Amino acid sequence: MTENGKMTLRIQRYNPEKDDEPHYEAYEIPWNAQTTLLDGLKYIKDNQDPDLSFRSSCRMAVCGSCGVMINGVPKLACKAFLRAYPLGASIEPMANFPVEKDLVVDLTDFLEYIQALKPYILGNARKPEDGPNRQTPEELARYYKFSLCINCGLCYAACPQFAMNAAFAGPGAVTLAHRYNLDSRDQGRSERLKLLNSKHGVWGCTFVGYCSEVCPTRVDPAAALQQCKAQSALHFAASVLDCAKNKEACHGEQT
Amino acid sequence: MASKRKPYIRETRADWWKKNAHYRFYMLREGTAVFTIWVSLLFFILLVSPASFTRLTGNPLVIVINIAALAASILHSKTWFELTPRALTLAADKTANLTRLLWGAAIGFTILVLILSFI
Repeated sequence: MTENGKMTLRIQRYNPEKDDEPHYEAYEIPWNAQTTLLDGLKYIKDNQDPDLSFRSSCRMAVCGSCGVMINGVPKLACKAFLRAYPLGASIEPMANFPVEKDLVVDLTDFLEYIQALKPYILGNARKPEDGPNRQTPEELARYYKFSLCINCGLCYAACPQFAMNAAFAGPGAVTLAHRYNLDSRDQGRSERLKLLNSKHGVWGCTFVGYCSEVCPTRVDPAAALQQCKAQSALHFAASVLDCAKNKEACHGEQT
Repeated sequence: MASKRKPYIRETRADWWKKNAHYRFYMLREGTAVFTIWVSLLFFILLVSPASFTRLTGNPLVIVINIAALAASILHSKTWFELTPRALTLAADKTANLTRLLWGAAIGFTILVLILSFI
């Protein structure tokens, strides 16, 4: 492989043991048409600065570990080729998350919401003896796109609502919940809607839509959120009607 | 051993939306709401006092604002028609049809209103 020469990466560094705030350091690295940003970061760690911290694992856009901001745009380091940045690039940790060290962020807010929204099949009493739980191609098509999420968190780095309110459930977790709400084998929709309808649920979204643009697997989380809003509104209307019909039960619940 | 963690939280400044083209277009899209208020106000004046509505709409400044409001509402409709199908649980082929249907309805309704206003 021939080298195309050198390029400069400006990387945001932050050492919690020494620094009060992040600063940039410049690194000159060799690159060619096949070099990804992750290759570049590994080159720096191996040859120039062993202290540089970043997350990575599969190096093929499957695991979702290596999200960073390249010139302010959330991307997976393994999926971003340096040939797109011949003049060099500025690398920062994923926006909107607290920075632990260098390019490593704390994803707790996102991960806790995934757990709270129960993205797995609920309320299905089938046993293995009952055989496969079949779905029609149409039933699969309803949620398939939303099942491609790799939990990388780039959608959170793209979300201004999450930036302003870290308690917002956010695009990724809501999309995963919605994926199961749409699944014909699942019965957990009303359980998930409790959180989705809550103060920090889907209604925090204003359809900025940047999450869908940066998603490396084209999941379209913005669409999932809007669909979820429709479900949430119907659920609310149904609960109001239910209350009107069954006053005693509703008042009992409130007190 | 005591934890050495000291997470750094980056501040979101009021100018966050200037950072990229997508955010800027989002603000423009949401900003079209201001013109919707203006048009609602005009209709309110028409209801309350048709004479002052006629006088007001002849004002060159109002004409300029109305042209801007027309542009804003076309932009709003365009983005709304593009976003609506995504908010529905539809297959991709039906999504394209729905967008065409919405455009057809908007153009048809506009022509109908124009014809009615000239009768």
